[in-house]
Amino acid sequence: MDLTYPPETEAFRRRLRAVLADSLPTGWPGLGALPAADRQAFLVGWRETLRAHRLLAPAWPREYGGGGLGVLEQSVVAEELVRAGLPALPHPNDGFGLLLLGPTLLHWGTPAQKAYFLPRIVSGEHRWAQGYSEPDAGSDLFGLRTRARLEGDEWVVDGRKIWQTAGVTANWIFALVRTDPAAARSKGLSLLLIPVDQPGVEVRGIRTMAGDVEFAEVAFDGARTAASHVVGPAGAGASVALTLLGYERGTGGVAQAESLAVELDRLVALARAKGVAGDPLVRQAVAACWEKVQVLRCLGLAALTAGAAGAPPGPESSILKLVGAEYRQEVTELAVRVLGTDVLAPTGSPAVTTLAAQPRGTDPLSARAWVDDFLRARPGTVYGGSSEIQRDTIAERVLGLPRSPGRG
Amino acid sequence: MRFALSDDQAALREATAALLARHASRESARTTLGRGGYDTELWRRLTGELGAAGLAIPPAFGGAGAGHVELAVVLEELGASLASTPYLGTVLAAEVLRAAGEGSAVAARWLAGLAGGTTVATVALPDHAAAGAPPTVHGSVPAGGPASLTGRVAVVVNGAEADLLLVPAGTAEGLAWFAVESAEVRATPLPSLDLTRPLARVDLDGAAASPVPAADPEAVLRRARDVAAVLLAAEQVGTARACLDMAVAHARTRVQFGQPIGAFQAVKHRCADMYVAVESSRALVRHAAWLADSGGDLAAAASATRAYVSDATYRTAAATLQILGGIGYTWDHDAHVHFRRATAATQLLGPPADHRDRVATLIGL
Repeated sequence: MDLTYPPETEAFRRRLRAVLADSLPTGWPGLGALPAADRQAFLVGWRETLRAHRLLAPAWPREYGGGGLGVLEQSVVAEELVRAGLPALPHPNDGFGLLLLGPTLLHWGTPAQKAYFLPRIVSGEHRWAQGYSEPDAGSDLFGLRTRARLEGDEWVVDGRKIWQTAGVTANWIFALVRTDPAAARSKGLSLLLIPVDQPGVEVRGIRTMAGDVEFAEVAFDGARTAASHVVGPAGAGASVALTLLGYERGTGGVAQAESLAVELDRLVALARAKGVAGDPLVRQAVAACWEKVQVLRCLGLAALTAGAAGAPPGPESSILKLVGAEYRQEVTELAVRVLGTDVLAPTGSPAVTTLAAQPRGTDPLSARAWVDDFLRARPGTVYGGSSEIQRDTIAERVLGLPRSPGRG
Repeated sequence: MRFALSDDQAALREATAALLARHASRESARTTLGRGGYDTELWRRLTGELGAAGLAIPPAFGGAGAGHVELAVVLEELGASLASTPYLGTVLAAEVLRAAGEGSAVAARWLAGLAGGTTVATVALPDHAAAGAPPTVHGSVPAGGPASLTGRVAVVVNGAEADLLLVPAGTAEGLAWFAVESAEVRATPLPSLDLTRPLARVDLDGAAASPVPAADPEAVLRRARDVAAVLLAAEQVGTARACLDMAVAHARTRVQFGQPIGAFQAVKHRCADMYVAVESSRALVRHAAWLADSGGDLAAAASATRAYVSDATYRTAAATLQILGGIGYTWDHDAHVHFRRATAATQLLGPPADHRDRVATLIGL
């Protein structure tokens, strides 16, 4: 056991810090401190800065616009961006292209697919959404019914996908669809890459309980995409999709824990400002949150170092998802408790990010930002495999318990 | 850089597990439960064949020169078994003696015996260690004369079994550490809730003692408490793991309504939560043990580990009783032995609430 980053990784960290310092105004307080009106313009410029320094896709080969870095350096990039209060994924669709589809294409894609799609993810020309869930296929993913059939040199797609995060700003969608209607369940599925800007695709935004249009529903009615836009062999979509879900957990655990530590510091500042730092209930609850951030940091380190040694994602990924999602609810519930009556009419600067802890610089006293996060923490235990599905996965795949009644 | 155990550490785990499987069977452990003392034959093998007591002691004193990660590995295996050994106290005593400086006469006198397992030792930590209560023992160090200790320590692990006790005591010059041999103390065995961990009240009445030199005795006490917090947590991970294994084995094989009860989500989700508790706890313990070895800041990590692992282990042991059903409530089943251990270990170094309060202070609250 050795948790010291290798000297060459630490040297990379120092060079990276210098690059970040050169790219930012002196005394940069973190994105959270930027006035809401200035954030959008900053994010556009910041994405270009990251791209120019090959930090958007740090671990991809350089020929595709990546940084050609190793797994540890990839984590270091994410860690240092969190520490500086900077987003690693400035555009709402970046996560789907850079963290999910890109690595999946690197694993399964043809040379032509890699050469065409990867640089366009980095440039921002293609903005991706994920098309897995359907109105009647949520946790039961392999009950999905969207179909595609080959017609000449094109796939023709019919059906509906739902819960596309950032779906309204996407212009491409990777969708798991049924290409062999005779095959059951997980057999006969394929992962297709489908352009959104065409007559057969209709995108409708869904307003969430937090008040913003964060999700979308996508209807395919004779939508078309090239026969070559299938990832991995046709019919192997279930395996391809599982690879992709593995990347969804990925090697970002250490940086995620770092961002949760930034958030917890903000909660400590809030508790002090509200005069409840001496309240034993608050002290116990904050310390319990710190324990969980520490758990996530340790599990993140375990996943990172296993990944750096070439091991495939293990059961840590299900634990990280489960603990991380439930933790976000716990910590934001605590913030709401500390705010007390301030949540009745929340004021202050709004949240910057929708699906993660707020960046450094966010005003600890902004009830609005805390309440935004409190509301947005709710779907975390539902999307990306609900907490119930994660527990099933752990119990069945790791502990060897039998499948639940009614589940094939 | 790796979080996983090194090959040597993994081999140590396997060797410890194999030794315990051979020589600390359920049947043999059951004969010593709740009777005080410990399995001397097992202790001889653990310390002699495996060198377990000397893992973190420098080679100059007969140890292996390894560290706390190795101690944590052994303690997890001990926690998973029902064996009663004076391991925890002995390795903690070595921690205190090492802090005294390896050139000191008292360290030279005792460390080799601790490393070889021929000397059994313990540390008389004051009550509510996390809260920093003042020592209940007072030391007198007359110029030129022998030092002596007077006072009472309410609960000492293996206080009646130890040959040597390391005692922090208040003196005219502030806190100081002393080594006291068992013949000098009166140890009264207590009815221990944990049937595998003998406890004693220790009374000292002018007990002859050897001062343990330390540049900063308070720092040694903090270090001893933090290391104790991590090492006890390592043992608790073993307890939780044993409970998880028992619960899962039962859930796989116990058939009701025509299927194994582990097929029902109400049961399997409990098991999944227990697994998360064990994996999370082990990750915290290993990380904190590594911090103890690498000179990192241990304070918050140790108390957070203590609090989290205590609650997680208790929940796991309690959930195991629920999954086992009626059989788990019987004296003959091992579940209650683990449940008792989980309950007692939660309080042993001060309750989780004390540790959480300390963490709150350390993070700026």
